[in-house]
This record gives sequence, C-alpha cells and structure tokens, in this order.
Amino acid sequence: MSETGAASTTGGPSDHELVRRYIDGDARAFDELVARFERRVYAVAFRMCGNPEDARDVSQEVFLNAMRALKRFREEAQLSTWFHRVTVNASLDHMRKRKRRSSTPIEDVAEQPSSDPGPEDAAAGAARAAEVHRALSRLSSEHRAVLVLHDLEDLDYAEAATALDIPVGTVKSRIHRARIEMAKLLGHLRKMGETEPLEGPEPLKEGR
Amino acid sequence: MNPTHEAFEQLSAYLDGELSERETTAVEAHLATCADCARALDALRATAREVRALEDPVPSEQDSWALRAAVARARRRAEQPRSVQFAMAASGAAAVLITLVFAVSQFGASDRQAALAPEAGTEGLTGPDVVVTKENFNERSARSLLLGYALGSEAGASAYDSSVPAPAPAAGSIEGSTGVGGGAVEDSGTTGAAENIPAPQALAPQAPAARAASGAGTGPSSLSRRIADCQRIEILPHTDDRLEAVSYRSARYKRQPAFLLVFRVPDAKPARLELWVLHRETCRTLYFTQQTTS
Repeated sequence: MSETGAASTTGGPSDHELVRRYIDGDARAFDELVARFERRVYAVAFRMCGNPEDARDVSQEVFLNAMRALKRFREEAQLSTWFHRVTVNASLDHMRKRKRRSSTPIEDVAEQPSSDPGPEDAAAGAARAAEVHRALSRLSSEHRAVLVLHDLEDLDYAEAATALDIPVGTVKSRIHRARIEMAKLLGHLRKMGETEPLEGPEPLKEGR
Repeated sequence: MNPTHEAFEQLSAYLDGELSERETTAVEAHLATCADCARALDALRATAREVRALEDPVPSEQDSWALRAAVARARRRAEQPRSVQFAMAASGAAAVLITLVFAVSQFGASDRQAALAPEAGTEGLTGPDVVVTKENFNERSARSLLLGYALGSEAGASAYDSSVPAPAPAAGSIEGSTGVGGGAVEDSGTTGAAENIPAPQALAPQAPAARAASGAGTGPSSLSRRIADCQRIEILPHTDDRLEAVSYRSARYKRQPAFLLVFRVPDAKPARLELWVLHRETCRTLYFTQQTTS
C-alpha cells in the first residue's frame, strides 16, 4: 500500500496528488486510485466478511462511496488509513444487513485460492489456512477488525487506533482478547498440557 | 495489583513490540519466572504467526471488471440528468446496457427451483435444465436459460426476450423508446436489420409462448414503460464498445430484486458476451461474467 503522500514505487503521483487531481475533475485519477487500492480493500473486506461475494459487494460500496467522499478528503489523513476505516465500516454494515436476511453458514466459508496448487504440503497448508480463516470469522467483529488491521494489514497499534477511531488502549486489549480466542480455536492453548484451555490470569494462580 | 495479571495482559503488546522499554523489561523479568505466561506467550506467538501467514485473497477478474464497470456507470450516471433513460440498440442508436432480471420461483406459486447464481459454491446461473457457468456461458446457453425462465415465469414477472442487432456507430445513452426502430423488439425474433443474425430465428417458435407467459405487451414502448416503472432504473453503457442487447429480464438474485442482462460486444477484440446482474433499485452489480464468443 502506498505510503502517506509518498510517490508510488514506480515514481508516479502520490495518493494525495491523485485525490487532488480527482477533485479537480480528472476522472482517470480516480481510476488510478481504484487500481492502487482495489486489492487492499478487497483483502480487508474478505477477511472481515469471510466470503468472496460479500468482499466484492463491499469493495464496490467502498469505491462508489469514495467517489463522493474523496471530494471532501482532508490531506492530513493518510489515504490508506481512510480506505481501511471505510472498508471496515462498510464490512460491518454489510454483515449487519446480511444478518437480517440470511446467515451464511460458517462452514461454507472457504479460504480463497490465491496461489497455484502445489504438492501435498500445499494442500495441508491450504486446509490449515481455511481453518485459520474460519476461526477469524468466529471472532466478534470488533476483535476481527483489530486482528485484520494489525496482523494482516501491518498497521501498528496507533495506526489501527486511528483507522478504527478508538483509543490505543482499546486496540491493545482487543488484540489480546482476539488472540486468546484464536489461540483456543486453533488449539494452541490446549497444547499446553492444561486440561482446561487458558482463560486468563486465574488459571495461572493454580499450582506453580 | 497482582503483577501476574498485569504481565499476562501485556503479552500480546509485548509480542507486537508495542511496550515501552520499562514495560518490556518488566514483562521479560516476569516471563523468566512464570512458566504459565511463557507458555501463553508461545501460544499467542503461534497464533499470530498463523494469522499473519494468511495470504491475501485476490479478487477475481470478474470482480475487478464488475468494480470498474460499477465505477464507470456511477460516473456516467452522475454526468447525466437524473431521469430514467432506456434505449434499445437500433439503427442510428447507440448501444445500451440492459439489465436482465430473472423471475424466480419466489415471485409466484411456481415450483421451479431456479435460483439465480450461487447461494454458496457454484458460480453460475441455474434454471430449468440449464446451468450457465462462466465456463460454458455463451449465447446459446444464456438464451436457453432465459427462455426457460420466460416459459416458466408467473404473472408478475416481467419477461421479454429480444434480439436486437444494432449497427450502432457510437456508444452513449438513448432517450426513451424513440431509439427503437426497425421492429427490433418483435417477438418473432425477426428484426429490420437482422440479416446477419441467424440466432433470433431459432427463438421464433418459442417467443409466442414467452409472450403468453408474461402476458404483457411486447412492443418497445411497453417495454420501456415496464422498465421505467421499476424504481430508478438507469441504464447506461459502461464501455465505449458497441453493445448489442441479447435479452434481459427481471429476477431475484440471492433474494434481492435484480435485473439480468445478456449482451454482445462484437467490436471487442476478441468479441465477447457479457452477463450482468444488477440490483434493481441501486443498480449495483451483483454478478457478472463474460465469455469470448468464438
């Protein structure tokens, strides 16, 4: 993802420059923004919603929304942060609406194929990745959002806090809770020789 | 305050390098003495590693195309006066994007199992006896599918199957039904400019049945009126390539009111067929697939 205001790796215009051009009426500038951010928006939407159809719908909503909203974009913000925030919010809205219609069975959510199929190791890896993806889908949306932004989008706590418009302390505790939940779902906590999965500080006081 | 509790709560932040030097030192000192926290840290680290190892999903080519088309349409819609514009490709008229909507069993008491596109799993359109997927999508399969729906549709579903050959010079939107000419929307399938289109003839025998099934008028004006009646249907081209409408109808896609459209893009290199499903009210692209025509 492009850095703040910095030129893209190919030496082209910065994100802010593209927004400025778009505001001035250059439609192609917006197409360039779509090209730059499409995959990132799709990836976040996919991990938040859990399936490709919703990811596609959310991506469209995000960019159609951006056509209006970027006209009022203030340049002290990073465009990537803006897209992160809008995509997470659009994903949450989309999932809320979907809940009112029908629920997608979690078991139908498959890991999306991204690279070529390889030998047997790759098959096992893909199966595990599907498990991780399913576990992510089982988190609450708040927990999932912080994990997606931090672990998958490589935002630090401060950046994630800005994107989600929450305090850094909230990011910190949500990531911790989210990871504990994931660790249980993925079996990492169970492997510790405890009969019960770790709940938190309480079990630590037993024995030892 | 129990230092054990506090240290445990810090473990993720410690893992992520988000603690201050002082906090980091305190956690490390604690980890040296607490096997449980050390194990917890291992579990958290393993978890973080697995999450980070997830590869970025890649939007399919269809998804990308649908996104760009949605942007292009929104842009043109913003540039046009906000009125419903409908056009059938005809001589002197520009090509048009018509969305087809399938009337699925939800519309009436029909027992047909037809479901438009996948609920989960298969990427494709299904109907009576025909499965259209992106692999086999071609004009013939699309026509069969649409015809099947036309024959099976209940009253209340709009169904109109038309073949509109259109030697149109330029793209753009056309106003009203004045753009329809040369009997382009006759049910018999024969049109004024149909010399070079053999396929419509094949539709001729079934077309009257389609008309009977829909029970609605079939002239161009009733067509455009029907479309105009449907909320804010704005039908605008998404590409500068000439578009030839093959057929369209209303339907439901994943329980949403939608339009389904099939049209040809003969000038594209290679020429292709496109299948669109647009949300009937927002015109958002719900499904898209395309196929090069041999």
